[in-house]
Amino acid sequence: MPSYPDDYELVTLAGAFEEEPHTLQAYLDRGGYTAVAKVLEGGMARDEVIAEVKASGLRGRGGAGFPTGLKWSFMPPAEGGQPQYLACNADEAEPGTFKDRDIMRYNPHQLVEGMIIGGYAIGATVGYIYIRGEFWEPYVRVQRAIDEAYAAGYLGRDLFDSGVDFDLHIHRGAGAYIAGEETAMLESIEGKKALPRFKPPFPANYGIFGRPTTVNNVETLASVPPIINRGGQWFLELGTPKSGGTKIFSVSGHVAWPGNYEVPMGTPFAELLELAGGVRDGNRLKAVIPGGPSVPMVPAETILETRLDYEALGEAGTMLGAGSVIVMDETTCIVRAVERLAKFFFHESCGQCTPCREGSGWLHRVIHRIENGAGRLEDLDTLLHVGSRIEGHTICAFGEAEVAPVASSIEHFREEYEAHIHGKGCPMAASGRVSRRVAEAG
Amino acid sequence: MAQIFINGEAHEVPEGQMLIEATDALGIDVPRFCYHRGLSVAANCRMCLVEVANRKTPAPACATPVSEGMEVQTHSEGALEARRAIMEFLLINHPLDCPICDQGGECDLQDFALAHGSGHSRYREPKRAVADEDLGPLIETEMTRCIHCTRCVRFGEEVGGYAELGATFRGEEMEIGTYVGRTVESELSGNMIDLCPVGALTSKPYRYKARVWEMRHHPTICPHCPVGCNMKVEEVDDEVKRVLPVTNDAINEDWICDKGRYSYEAVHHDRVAEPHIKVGDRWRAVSWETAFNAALKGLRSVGSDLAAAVAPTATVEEQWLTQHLVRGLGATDIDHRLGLADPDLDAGVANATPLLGQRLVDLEALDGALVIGGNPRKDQPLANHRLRKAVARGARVSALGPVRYPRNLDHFRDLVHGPGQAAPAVAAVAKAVAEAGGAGVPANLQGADAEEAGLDPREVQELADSLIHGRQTSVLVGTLAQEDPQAGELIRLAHQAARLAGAAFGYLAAYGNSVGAWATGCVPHRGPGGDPVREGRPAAAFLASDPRRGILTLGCDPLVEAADPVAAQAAFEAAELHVAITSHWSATARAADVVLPMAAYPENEGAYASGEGRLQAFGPAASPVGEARPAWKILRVLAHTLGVPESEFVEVGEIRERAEAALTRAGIALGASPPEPGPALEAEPRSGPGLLRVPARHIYHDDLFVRRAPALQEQFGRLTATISPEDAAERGVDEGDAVRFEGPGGSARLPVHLDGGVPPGVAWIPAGEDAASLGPAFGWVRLSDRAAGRTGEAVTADPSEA
Amino acid sequence: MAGPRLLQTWFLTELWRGLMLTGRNLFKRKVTVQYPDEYTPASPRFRGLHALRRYPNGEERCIACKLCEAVCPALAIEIDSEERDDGTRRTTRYDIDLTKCIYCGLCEESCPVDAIVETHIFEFHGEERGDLVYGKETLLAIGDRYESEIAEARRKDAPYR
Repeated sequence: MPSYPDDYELVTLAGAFEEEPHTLQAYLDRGGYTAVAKVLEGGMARDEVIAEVKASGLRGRGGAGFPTGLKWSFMPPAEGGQPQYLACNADEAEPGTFKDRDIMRYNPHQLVEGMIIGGYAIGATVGYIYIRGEFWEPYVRVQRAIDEAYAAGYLGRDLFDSGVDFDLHIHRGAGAYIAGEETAMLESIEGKKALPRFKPPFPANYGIFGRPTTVNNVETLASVPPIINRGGQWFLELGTPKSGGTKIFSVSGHVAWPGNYEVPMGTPFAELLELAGGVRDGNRLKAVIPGGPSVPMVPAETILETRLDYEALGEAGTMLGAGSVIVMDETTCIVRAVERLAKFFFHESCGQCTPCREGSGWLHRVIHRIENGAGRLEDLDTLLHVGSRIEGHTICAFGEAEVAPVASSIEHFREEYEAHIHGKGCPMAASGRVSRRVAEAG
Repeated sequence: MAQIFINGEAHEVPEGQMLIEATDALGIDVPRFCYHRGLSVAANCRMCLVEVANRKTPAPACATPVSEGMEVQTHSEGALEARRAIMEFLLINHPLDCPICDQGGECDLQDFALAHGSGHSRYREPKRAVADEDLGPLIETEMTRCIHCTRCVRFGEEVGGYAELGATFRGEEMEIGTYVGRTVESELSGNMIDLCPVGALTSKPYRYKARVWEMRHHPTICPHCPVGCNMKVEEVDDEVKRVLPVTNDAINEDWICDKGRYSYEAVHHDRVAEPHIKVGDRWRAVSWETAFNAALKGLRSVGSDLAAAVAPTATVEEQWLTQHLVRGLGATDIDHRLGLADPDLDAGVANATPLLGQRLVDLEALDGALVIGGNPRKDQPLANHRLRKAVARGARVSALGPVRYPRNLDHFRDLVHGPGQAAPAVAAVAKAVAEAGGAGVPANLQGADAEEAGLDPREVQELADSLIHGRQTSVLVGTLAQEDPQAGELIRLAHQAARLAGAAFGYLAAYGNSVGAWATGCVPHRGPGGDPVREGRPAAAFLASDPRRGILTLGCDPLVEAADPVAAQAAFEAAELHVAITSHWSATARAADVVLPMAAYPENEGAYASGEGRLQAFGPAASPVGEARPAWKILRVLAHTLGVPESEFVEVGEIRERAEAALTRAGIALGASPPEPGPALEAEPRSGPGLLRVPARHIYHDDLFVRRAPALQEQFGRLTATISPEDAAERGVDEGDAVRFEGPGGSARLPVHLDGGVPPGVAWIPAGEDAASLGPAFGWVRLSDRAAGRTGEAVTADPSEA
Repeated sequence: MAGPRLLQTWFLTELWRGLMLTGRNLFKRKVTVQYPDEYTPASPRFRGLHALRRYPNGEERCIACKLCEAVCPALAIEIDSEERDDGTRRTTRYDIDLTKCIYCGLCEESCPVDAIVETHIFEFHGEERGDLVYGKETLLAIGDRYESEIAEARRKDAPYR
């Protein structure tokens, strides 16, 4: 089993090792709802809350890494009577990502508290938590937490006699990956098909039902109560100067102990790998996707030298994304892995705009052909060129996401593609070296 | 205004405008598929990508608002590369069937493929194929060609008024279709064909009939409703192939309704191709000379004992000339209001020229309106579109009528009065307006009572408030109200309500050129331009109890369209002479003694006066079928030969001068207000046995030309009787049952449709060929006692009798 | 040719020279073709009488796209189209006025389905005015009759198209 150092402090996964960590009592025992009391009873002004969050260096944990305090400050002041919204994106559908699920399972009240504080800071009186349809247990636990919070007076009218109202609703998704895109999520909350909106206007101006809306990730909002309680400076110092706090990494793939690891920003990848028990069976590391399939993959030699924060990963040619670390060892056929990812993106493209709708199928079919021995050398240049024609031409970031694994794998593992083309099929499957699990899954 | 730089040149454009609007206004070419100026912005085709300075990625011109100092490159290498990219993506799954595609030659995808596409495809994988949708008799689909621009979907939601098409599935499997295997029924559906940038949606009647490059285009004006949409008729070798809208922002914008679009099919159906005379009981096709001689002989013998029924869809020239002929012969009875059931209208209102009272574009700017006894959605679809736009802006548009029509706009209040209570209901509204205005209730309204008229007083009050409190409001008298047996009272009370509310008063005119017919003197009590004439009797009299020895009909079919077709039949039988000038065979033509074939509207030339007071001229698009001739030429010969003075016209323009002068004298001008009616009288509610019939006409059944258009008739289906579920339950009738209805004139067997929008005690049976045998359009009907069934009324559908 | 003029006249040299030329050509390969008993070889691209082709299953190729009608510089082609009962696009009329036709071959070039072709036939006539307006049935019959030759000519020309 992996073990954290004794003095290690979990921020968003606090209580994960307790027996019944999701109940209101357990949360109160951990010092819950003191931050919201500090804000509302203590009379912190909205600007002060936002300033504290800005000071913490907290950046969006959903993938884009936009500074949270700055995002909150974009919200216009609330006009009389017209609602503004805070939407929590819990549609955690990125393959290999499962951090929000555990926050909602083990620490739902911290999310609720974070939303109350966030709602107050941006002038929203209604919050939505958009939970993906497949998440049943997290939904049950968050709903229970909301019910408990209403019963205890943490949600509803006139909280802490401060005159502040906040209502919280859960909206369950129906299983489309694209619903995790923030504007598609807003459409889905409105009861429509989840199709991303063109930006601008941004949600801060035109969100749910056309009203100003802020969208934050679960982990982001769950980080807020400790920041309020212990100060932004404390949070910032947990991580690096530009990437404050801790971050949950969902480690999956060929490691001994896959799972969620909450570590400080800036932790070297090698350390995280060690925490997860190293590469399984003593195999050699081949490549890592550090932020979910929508970010470029990096070969072993690069990632082993890299620290896990926004800047360092950017320099390594990839992104922190949602912190979903997919580890692939030497038994992995990269072409087969990328074919699987391309199929995923082909299946999940919303179909709204042209390059992604038509391009995702094209990419998948060509890679499928290469994997199955019908590839041609010029296909590789076609893939890169088609990819470049998708990127930057789409409404949402899905276009970049679907190209990332294809382009990065051709960049780093071109010889493996060429081996498929020359050998008219997968050389690893032929030699029996390919991971059995991958072979079966394909 | 903001200064922006497009391709290095500075331009002043309105701030906040989208870039593509600016480039369109400046005539700079930016290709697009999904953007259309009449629809919301979707930004999904990505074809309009342009380069904007200081942006990493190309920006869609349709969704990028201009801002001060913006630098845009529309034809830089980056912008062109983006277009090449999009074209490549669009073409990989698009079939290469341009040679059999009706869109070929006017296809945006084809044009842009030529401009930005590659002659060579890198795509070697299987292509997508999609099953086609059956959208009914008007729209043909080839869904494999669809490029998912969603223009049709947005059109349905935003202009058509309800979502009939939508996108299901996602990604490459996304499909456009109806949600649950339904057909498209919107009266504006044909516009989706124009909107579709590829050949996914094409016109079914036009399918494979011609190619776009071989057709000649002739601008024309739609004759069917008083909006007067601008259209073009396209023809090959004198055969009309299709009709398309011509953009006119003041009238129809980019749209036309399906009636205007598809009625052209009637040009080649059931036409009278040669002059005919009846010898004994048999028709004989004869030469013009023989037919003229027969007509002239008859007309000479009846002399001034002649009546004329003129189609309200005839041109102003034809209308002027008809009254010129009839009055020149000393006769007095002439009318175009065949469906008018109020014989006393002329005595009271005197001048009910159905002007809109404002411009069409003004309807958009209204913030409150009341439509009395009309269904603008079906009667004047594009006027209704303006009202929809007003509602989208937040206007409170209400309706008051005998039934609640299926609407496509959100009404503020949609009130249904009790059977036969139209006038008392309007009186109640006028009273509420007077009370809310605080200026005291006029004497004639003292007795008005909302509850007695079957209305909820609270709702009437709210409606009155919405009329008073708007900045710009309007009271509009609809088509049905104009024909009501109490039309006189209705019009006067509506006018009074408008006065009290400070609202504009107007009519949603009944038929195409009714304004022209009023102004050119096709009414019995007013000459051209309102000149005094020896007063005659209206159609309600001469087509009923008190016929003349001779009848002349021009382009109309009173045996279907008259207020009482059964009485009209008797009038025709009593007449010695019936000369029918008609383009199509009809019940009326068959009842005539002499049939003179006239040109149908695409073959005709002339002018129509629209409801907003615009006189629009048009020329012929094709030669008349067979021996048919434009009606003005036929009338001219008759008038000249019969010795009517001043009848030597050589060309239609000479007649138009006279008609135009009449229009000017009558005060017809753009946006002119209708004349003020006489003072209001007290109206007696009507009552009688059985169900009161509401004869609101059906959009695809209300003039002779439309009734001969096959595709529209297929869309129309059968004429149905709509009754309330309560009445149906009481009589044991179910949806779809064919039931025999008995009216004052006779009986008719009609399929029944149940609709909660029809109040108990009312049967909504449109005027039409299948219902003509019932007698008075506003009469009473009973479900036949002779029919079998539990309560002695219902019978099952019997196709042999249908 | 040396020698005084008198000698030349005396020995008839010019005559002999002429006869030599005749003699040389007497034994050369003959180029004259005895038309109509003999024919010169024609290129597979020869543009003669038109024909409408069918697919091997008997279905007519023409889809009434009217590109040939549009491209014809002599306005010799007239086509009417309709939706056939099976929903396909077909011609109801396909007339070529061979007296207008200039045999330029653009109709052939523009045809997306190789339906209208020009055969190697150049001998045809009409005895009355109007005989040389060939209709759809005639053109299809020509296509049926000469299909093997037409297909052979297409095959030979395929590498260059």
